[in-house]
Amino acid sequence: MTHGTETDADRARSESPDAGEIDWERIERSPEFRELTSKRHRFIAVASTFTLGLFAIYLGLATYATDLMGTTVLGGVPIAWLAAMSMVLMTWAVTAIYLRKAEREFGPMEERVRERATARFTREDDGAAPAGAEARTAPAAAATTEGGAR
Amino acid sequence: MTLVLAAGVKALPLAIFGVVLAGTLGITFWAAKRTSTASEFWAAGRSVTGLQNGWAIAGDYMSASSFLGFAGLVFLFGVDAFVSLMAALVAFLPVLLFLAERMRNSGKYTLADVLSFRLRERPARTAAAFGTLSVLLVYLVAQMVGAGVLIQALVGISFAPAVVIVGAFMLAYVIFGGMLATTWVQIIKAVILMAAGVLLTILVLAKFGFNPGALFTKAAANHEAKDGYLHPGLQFPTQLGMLSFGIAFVLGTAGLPHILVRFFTVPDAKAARGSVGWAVFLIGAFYLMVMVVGVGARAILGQAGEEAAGKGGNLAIPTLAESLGGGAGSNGGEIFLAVISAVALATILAVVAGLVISASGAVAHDLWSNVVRKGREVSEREEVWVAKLAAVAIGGLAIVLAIAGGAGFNVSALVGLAFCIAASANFPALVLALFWKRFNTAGAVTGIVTGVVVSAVLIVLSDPVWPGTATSSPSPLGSLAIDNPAIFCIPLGFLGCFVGTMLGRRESETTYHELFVRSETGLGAEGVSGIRRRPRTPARRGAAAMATQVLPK
Repeated sequence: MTHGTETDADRARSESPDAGEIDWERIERSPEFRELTSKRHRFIAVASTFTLGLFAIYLGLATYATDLMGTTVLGGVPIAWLAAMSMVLMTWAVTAIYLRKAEREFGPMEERVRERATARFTREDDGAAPAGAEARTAPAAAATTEGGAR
Repeated sequence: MTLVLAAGVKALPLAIFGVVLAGTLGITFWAAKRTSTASEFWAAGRSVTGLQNGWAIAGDYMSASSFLGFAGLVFLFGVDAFVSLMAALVAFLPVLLFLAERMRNSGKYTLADVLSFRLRERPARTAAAFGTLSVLLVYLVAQMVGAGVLIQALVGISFAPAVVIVGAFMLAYVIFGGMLATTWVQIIKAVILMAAGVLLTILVLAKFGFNPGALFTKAAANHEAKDGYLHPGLQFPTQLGMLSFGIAFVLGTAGLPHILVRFFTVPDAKAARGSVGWAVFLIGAFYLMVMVVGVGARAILGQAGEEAAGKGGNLAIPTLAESLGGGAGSNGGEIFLAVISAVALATILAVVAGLVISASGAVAHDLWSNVVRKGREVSEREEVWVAKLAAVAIGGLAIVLAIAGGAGFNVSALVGLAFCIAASANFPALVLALFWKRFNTAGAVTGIVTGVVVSAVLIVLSDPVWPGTATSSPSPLGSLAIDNPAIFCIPLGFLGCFVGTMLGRRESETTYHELFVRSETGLGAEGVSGIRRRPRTPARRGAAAMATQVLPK
């Protein structure tokens, strides 16, 4: 909720009381976060190249291969219609795959990053040494990433 | 006006319009009691579920030009028009993959929230608001002109009063019911639009024994180009025009402010991506039906139907409905025509309401609170009041422009311009802010200004607008009969961002790291479990711990 006394970016920061103390760069460097972004970005790169590539092929065929697109099959159906329907199916399929992947893989990974960030702050709040806490957890997490990368 | 049929007000369509309008006012009354804070006004209190938001996105996106306009283009140009439909659908993949979750994670009410998070607040917000308002105002005027023409043709109310009525209802939803009313108007519109689509599709297919081959053969026989109806090439005068048009849609959708702000209405990123899933499903299904119905209109109405369908083909669907109901003059025909007309009206209302509420956010939240008042001493109450005043001002301006321009406005050129600005100004700035570490304020400002200016200049110089005579504005709703310059504007928009960044002062990357982590994880976002409340209650912590255990690794 807004408080109306700061600029909005400040407001967003102040909304999370810890935000001022959060070391965003440390989270960014953390193995969980890097695993999340590298996996998700790779998926996004592949998926967007694939879909935009297929769409470009469709667009190119519709623009330049008009004879092929106008050929009728199955008793009068033009290929252009089948090609258009294949674009719908492609869009549905890529969406479904991303949603599934996000649900099973990226969502839990995000949750892990959030949990770890929270856990660190809780520990700091409790007076435990943050450096020690990190030293304890970092090697284990690094091992996880290595395992995950293979 | 090519569609002046105003021989008198038609009673039955008017009665059904009345029912639709009464229903939407009921929703507004209900929503008004639940709307007072800024978050409730612009984001429906983040209370919209993924499923509801998916329907609302579909309702927000499928304007009268995609229902009547696209089907009309299929009626006129055959398979060529399929390309536009598919571009408009595939466009949701960039939205899903790049923006949906990240918008929810890092913004609050407007696109500028995302930019200003890491850039210098005042210039970044001003530039983003400029890009946002350019798209919205142009699109709004296009929709209002289209609405006026359509209502005039379907109900017999003449152009200016029709525009005023649409404008008045649009403002009523937004001012009294905020985003909650807008959302539900969009959901209900999407439901009745889908129902109408299913009904028309089944009736058309039934006429041809559910044999698509027979449908296409009859349609081609009924077109003066014969087999040319089944070949691409009728609609676009040049191949470059066709390519550019497709690209404008694919990237422009990801820069449409009224679509992107819908992601602020859901509780979290999961609901945001889920809502795109529903929207893609609904819009894809609808476009499949539009193709069949458009071809069906050609097969059933034939060449003779072209006159009734109007020059842009916008009335092909209502004419088809009349014919399927039993023909002109029959009871069934009249009723079906009136129902389809009411669907078209609901469609317009839902879209213009979405446009106005997002424009009010850009004025009140970005320009007023954070630029003019620099965020100081702006209470939430004031922000909402300014938003309502802004809605009245923008809505009023659009009404005045629509009436003043009237037939002089080339609606398809306006819609093309809106998509072109969205693709070449908003989209590059948003994507680069989220993914490019070096990006800075100068880059955002240069890129957005370049995108808007280049789009406007090239559209004005394009065939259908230049030299701006009425003879060159044939289509009142279809967005498609123009040379859309997006293929030049988008690279120029990105180039503007790049050059501005390189010439501008290097900025601290600290806020980039924060935006990057926030946008990827939802850390710190309103309503997302995480580090927001330091003294976390044991119950919350327990629930979160359980969630991690239950979820598969």
